[in-house]
Amino acid sequence: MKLRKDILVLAAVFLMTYSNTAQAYLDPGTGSMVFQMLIAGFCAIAFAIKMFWRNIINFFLKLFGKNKAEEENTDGE
Amino acid sequence: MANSQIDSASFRDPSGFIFKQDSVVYRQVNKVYKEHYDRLMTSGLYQELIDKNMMVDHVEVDDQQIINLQSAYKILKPQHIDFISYPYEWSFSQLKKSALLTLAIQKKAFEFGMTLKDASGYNIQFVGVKPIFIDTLSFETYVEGQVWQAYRQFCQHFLAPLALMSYVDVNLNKLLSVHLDGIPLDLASKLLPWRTRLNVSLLSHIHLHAKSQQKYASKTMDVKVRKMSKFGIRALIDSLESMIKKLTWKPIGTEWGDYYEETNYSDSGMNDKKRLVAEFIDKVNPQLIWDLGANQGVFSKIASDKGIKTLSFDVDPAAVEKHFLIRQKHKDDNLILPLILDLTNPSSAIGWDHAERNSFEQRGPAGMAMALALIHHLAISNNVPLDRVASFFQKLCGYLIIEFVPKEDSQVERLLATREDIFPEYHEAAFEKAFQPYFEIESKQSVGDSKRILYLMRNKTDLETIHSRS
Repeated sequence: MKLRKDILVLAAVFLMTYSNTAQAYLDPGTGSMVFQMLIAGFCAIAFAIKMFWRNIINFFLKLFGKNKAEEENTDGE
Repeated sequence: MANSQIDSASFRDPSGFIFKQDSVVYRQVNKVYKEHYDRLMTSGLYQELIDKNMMVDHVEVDDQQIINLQSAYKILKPQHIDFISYPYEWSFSQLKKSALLTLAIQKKAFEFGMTLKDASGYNIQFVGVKPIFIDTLSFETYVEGQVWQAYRQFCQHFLAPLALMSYVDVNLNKLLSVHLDGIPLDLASKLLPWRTRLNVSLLSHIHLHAKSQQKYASKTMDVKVRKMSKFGIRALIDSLESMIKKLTWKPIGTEWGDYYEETNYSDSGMNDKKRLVAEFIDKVNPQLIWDLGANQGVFSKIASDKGIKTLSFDVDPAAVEKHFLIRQKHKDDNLILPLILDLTNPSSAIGWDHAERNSFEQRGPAGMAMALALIHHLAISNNVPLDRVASFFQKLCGYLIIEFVPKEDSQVERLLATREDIFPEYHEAAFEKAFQPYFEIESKQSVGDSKRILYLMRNKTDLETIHSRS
């Protein structure tokens, strides 16, 4: 229960409070917007954990003189 | 202004539009987009995307007559794209690569304080097998707290079709030609098998996303209330990227089986056909070849090896997927683009005013077309009279390499095995007579030890006239 509460608090931390931009010709859709804000919190937790492990792996790779793990491939492959 | 025409698909985004002047494509950047355009160009993002071959480059031109003086900020001349293809003509991996490129560009944009304001599949084109982003006006300055405006569009244009192709049927990419703004998520959710709800990512981005859209369908939301952290968007993009990377589809066989192994060509016959095709191409030396019914592109490769840009069309999504993967693996050229096309029902002109997406014919003509081992599928499987095949081909190309496959050929025998032969006019003399009003036969050769005949024909109408008709 406490863990669940922690997760919700953590998710809320990621959802900041600033206004929106101009020039948006595309209707993002209310349902998509609400859902996006909700799901982003959970994605953020997963992403934070992923980054944490990646850093640990990179640390050990560096320790053994190997190249940094590939973080991303820019051409979309 | 003389000879200028605004592109009929370029009307949704007030940031600017595409127009053609004397057959050259330009993009007008409107004043309203000035801040975002300047940021794209000065932040280093544009250069980064060009250096990484992710986006088309452009030059700013100032000697053009400006199409709308009051709203214009800049006129750009973008890198030329030889052939505009559409997502409903792409194989699974082509759509997947396009989706990943879109996300990679969003990540890059974030690094430079910008974001994508849309994520349409039509923002991507292919140069050979390489996808490239074409919409220079898709970027906007990122304001801390804003949501990712393009989330819904990305899910509709990329995620839903890829999931449907992967989990239900690879032909469901055709839904993209019915739903021009991507497959509605409630439809995707209905069509996907129940087990996809056990996949957390698909459950979230498609099924629950669709439910949320339904729940808020008639509700509005104060724009100021939209709040989301940059980290949140970054995580959302990462989640979409991981999921798309995991979506797979394996082409098992093709509609024509392993066609090249099953034809009644001996090795020498096949080599003879390749030699003749190469000879015919050399005689004409066109700039662009359309290979119709290209299968996995054995003959397209002959053209591209000569440095000729080649489009390889086939009805079979498995053949196109295999062809695309072969070309991508070998990294041997950027000259061949495999695409899915059903010649018996080619892509139509669709969208607003029938003019947003061009038909197959409107995107031609090509200097040369090849129709190898194809005529029997059109004339016998699809009952198209030979003169109608000829009149259609006349609209597509200046020169035509066409193979006549007679009834005695085992492939035709196979097609006629289960049906009555209602084709008394399907023979060599009638074939030549049917093509005679439209094409001049320049060369006629028997192919090795087979009963087939290869023709090189010249269109009796010149390309300019064909082009002005389409």
